[in-house]
Amino acid sequence: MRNFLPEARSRLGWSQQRLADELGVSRQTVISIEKGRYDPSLPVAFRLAHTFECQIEDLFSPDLEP
Amino acid sequence: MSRSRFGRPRFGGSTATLLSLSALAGIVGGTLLAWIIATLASLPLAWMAIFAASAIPITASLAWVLMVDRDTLTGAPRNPEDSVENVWLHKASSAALLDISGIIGLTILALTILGDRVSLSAETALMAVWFAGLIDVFIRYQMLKRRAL
Repeated sequence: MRNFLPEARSRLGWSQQRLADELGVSRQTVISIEKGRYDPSLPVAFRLAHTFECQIEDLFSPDLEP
Repeated sequence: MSRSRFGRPRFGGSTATLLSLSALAGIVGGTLLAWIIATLASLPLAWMAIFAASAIPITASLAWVLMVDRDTLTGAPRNPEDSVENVWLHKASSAALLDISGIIGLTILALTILGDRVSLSAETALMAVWFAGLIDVFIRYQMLKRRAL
């Protein structure tokens, strides 16, 4: 899964720790999501969309490359 | 809500209350455990004292874990179940269970082949399985963490 979390986060000027605090998860969770090594649960994805005031599809897209 | 390194009790009160109760519960629990084992196994008083001294830090820590309100701990995430550490722990535990199943199977095979040439007490075998499980989970967790970060 590709994600645009770093871009969305930098638009707000937030650190990874700030985003982690907003989501109520650890900083390592944010790092793993941004690096594409952890697909967040649906509740976290919804919280991310709510935090950045956008749709989940604006933050995540399926990696369709073979 | 103010947070601190050692947090506050679930049932209300200060950090000092929590630490005092944990220490008290640890001393009572550790001493009781040492007394029960020493009595059942007819062990000397010195052994009981050494065992109690070793057990008290563990029982006190356990009491703290059971009594602390995790929302009052500094740095504790609100939703630990959504954090990646939770996923790492589940993956590591699941993989370790399979590893341990394999290890037990191979050990049984080896003991069957070796027959009377090797004897293994139940205590030793169970302790080995317990240690192997803990170490396996720890190593796999660290590997998952290193891979993800």
